[in-house]
Amino acid sequence: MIKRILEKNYQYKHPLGTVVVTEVEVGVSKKGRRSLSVAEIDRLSRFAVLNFLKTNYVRSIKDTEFTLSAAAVRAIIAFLGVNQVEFSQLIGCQKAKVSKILRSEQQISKSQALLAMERLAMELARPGATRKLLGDENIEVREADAGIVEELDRLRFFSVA
Amino acid sequence: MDLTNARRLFFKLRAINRIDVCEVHVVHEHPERGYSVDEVVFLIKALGTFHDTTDSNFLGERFYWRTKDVYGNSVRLVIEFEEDESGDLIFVISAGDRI
Repeated sequence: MIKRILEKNYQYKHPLGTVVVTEVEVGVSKKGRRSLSVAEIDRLSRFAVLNFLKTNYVRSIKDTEFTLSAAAVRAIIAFLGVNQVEFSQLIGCQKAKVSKILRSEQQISKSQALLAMERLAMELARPGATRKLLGDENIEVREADAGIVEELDRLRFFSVA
Repeated sequence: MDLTNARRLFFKLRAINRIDVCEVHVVHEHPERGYSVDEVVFLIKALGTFHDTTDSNFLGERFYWRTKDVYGNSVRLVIEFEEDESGDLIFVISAGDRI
């Protein structure tokens, strides 16, 4: 049987950056094996993505040399829940280029990196929006937690709370 | 549990997100495994096939989910069923490897 315990100051490793979260629910099995539920992983990943955007969003626009590493692109693809073909549509390039970016054979261009950042922010604010944008009619677009939406609005549109 | 019932249960639990991901093997992954937690969650929700384990010691206890990653490589996730403290069943992804 899995028992749920609350753990404080949990360090969560995400390819877009490690975050420390105040409280996380960890499952512990009889054998002592620890696990995280998909819902908790989703929450932690959103926290890591928000942190990444806070650090890089403005820089991605202002820095003329801004790019994303292959690992970051891979993490963005996983977060958006898309495949290479769908990601190529989202950033306006061919699938072959996405394959090369993921294999570190080519760098993502500045304009494509900017689009990737925008898609990331959109999915963070409205979970499910990426799949909806790609034409998935069955998907329900949700609104992220008020805290995340507020932080993103402040970051992207300089809104004052 | 036999394969047919396990497969049925797997799809049922997957549809309602009753999934846990093992911390040691997947969350704080071994570097050689190379999959982030988000990717593991993506892989479990992708198209794939459900199989019995090849290890006779764990027959009926462990199962495999085989699918393909973003590069097109074949991946195998290890699935185990457990009971939550509320008495509901969940499945735990206890490991993930390229095959």
